[in-house]
Amino acid sequence: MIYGQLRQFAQEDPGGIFLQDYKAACSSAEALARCEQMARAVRELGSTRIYLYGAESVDLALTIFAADAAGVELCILNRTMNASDVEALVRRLGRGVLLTDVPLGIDGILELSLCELANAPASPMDSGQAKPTSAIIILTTGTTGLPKAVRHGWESLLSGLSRQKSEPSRWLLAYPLNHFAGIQVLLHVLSNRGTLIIPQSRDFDEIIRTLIDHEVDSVSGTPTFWRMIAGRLTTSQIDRLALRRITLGGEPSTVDLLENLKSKFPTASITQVYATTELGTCFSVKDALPGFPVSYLRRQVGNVRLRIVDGELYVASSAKMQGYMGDSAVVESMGDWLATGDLVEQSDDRVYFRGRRSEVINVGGVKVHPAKVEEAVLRIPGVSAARAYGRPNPISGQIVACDIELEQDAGEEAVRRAFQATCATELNRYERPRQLNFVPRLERANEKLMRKA
Amino acid sequence: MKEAVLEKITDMVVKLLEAKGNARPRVAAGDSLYENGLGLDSLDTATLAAMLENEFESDPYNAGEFPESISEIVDFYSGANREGL
Repeated sequence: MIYGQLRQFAQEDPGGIFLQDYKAACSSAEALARCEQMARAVRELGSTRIYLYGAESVDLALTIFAADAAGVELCILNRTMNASDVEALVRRLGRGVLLTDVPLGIDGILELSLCELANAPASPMDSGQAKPTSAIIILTTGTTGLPKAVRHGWESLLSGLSRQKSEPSRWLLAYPLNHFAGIQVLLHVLSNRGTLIIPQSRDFDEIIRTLIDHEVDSVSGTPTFWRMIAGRLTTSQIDRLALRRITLGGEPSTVDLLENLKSKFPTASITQVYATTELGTCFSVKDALPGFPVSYLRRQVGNVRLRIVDGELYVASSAKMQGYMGDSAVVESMGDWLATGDLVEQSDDRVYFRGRRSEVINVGGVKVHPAKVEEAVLRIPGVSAARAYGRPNPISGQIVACDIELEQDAGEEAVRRAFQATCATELNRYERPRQLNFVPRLERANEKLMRKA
Repeated sequence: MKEAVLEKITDMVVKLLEAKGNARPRVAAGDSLYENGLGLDSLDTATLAAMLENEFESDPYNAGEFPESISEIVDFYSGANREGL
């Protein structure tokens, strides 16, 4: 499926740069040639599944296409996993060959270096041999609990993407490729015949350097990512950027962030995407306001339908996963409608996100949504990130606690005073955090704030 | 020792009352903490329990007690001290 798309790209615009990392640029024609060469090597491994473990690079991206061309199932591992994590996961999901950029040496698991695969001898590729079984397994972020392994067919993932009529864009890969959002950006660039620019690392300075040096015009990132970018970019850096398209996803955006992005990048379009690893991309909102219009509940958007059941957003989508991979690697069957775990609240003609069902804090029987608390706290000048959570309490079961990350030049005392004032006016007394902690940096997973389990 | 604890806890209760717009000219160690005295409700009490835990690493409510006054809270901590905790 995606191999077929790459072939079309190479036919239409063979010289168009498809992939670019800090080392090299790779045109669509070169990408196709190298992908076919790697696919041949993958097939010779004789395995129906490969596990991919490597830092983001042109080679890593090409391996994804090679797996599809070879008709094998691909599971991209989180590069932060250690050898024993990898071993446990492979034991849980089932056998396969490990392609890796560092030797892991796990007993009983055949491994091949990515470099060796990329430099396998060239030999002709018989087209049309790709089996329809090729699929991708994506591990969920796991901001709470163990990651789940979600299996998707390439066809349904591609079906959600419309071929863009606009000029090809230059996208930054701000997500890792083992993350669903990273794969979405890759597929979007592929169908747009654009260029994917892969930074050497996701350090802030490296991101900024890449944005400027490679004239990136489109970036998709989490609100947490954008808060860092908008908070730390200097005016002279902003002047050197060519940003035309800002995309946010993975967490609900807040008013303060959307306003900040609008004022810092007045000519860029701002799109909020609602997607989950299980459901694929569901819908997007382009008005730079939080939440989404109530009208989305009444109409079918592409092949996606939405409804609210007991305060929770449910989605029926043709781009949804094939299923979870369990211990026995059996794909579980599901009905049409899937609970997203996202709590929503309808107010006039808008539907607002109120946090995850699993994150609701219960203060003496009163439900408190961390998202609402965080939104209020984030409006306080000097606060760069906030996380509200429930803390066990002998009287009320839980009380609201809040961890705050300050901007570099902000003072704790001033923020503490503003915090009291803001909480008193914007939150009811159950919602007000009873404990405030200043932390140097909130923990993040795939650039989303970690939730306390 | 006991005086320092008393001062800290009184300060906590004063702050709690101020935060709910119920500042008192005088808070005495023997005053009842709840409806018939200083007027702390369940959420205020929950907050007090959290404050005590932050300050002293344990609190009487978590230990299954329900102190009626600031003095009783002070006793809880001096009791703990006597047991060498």
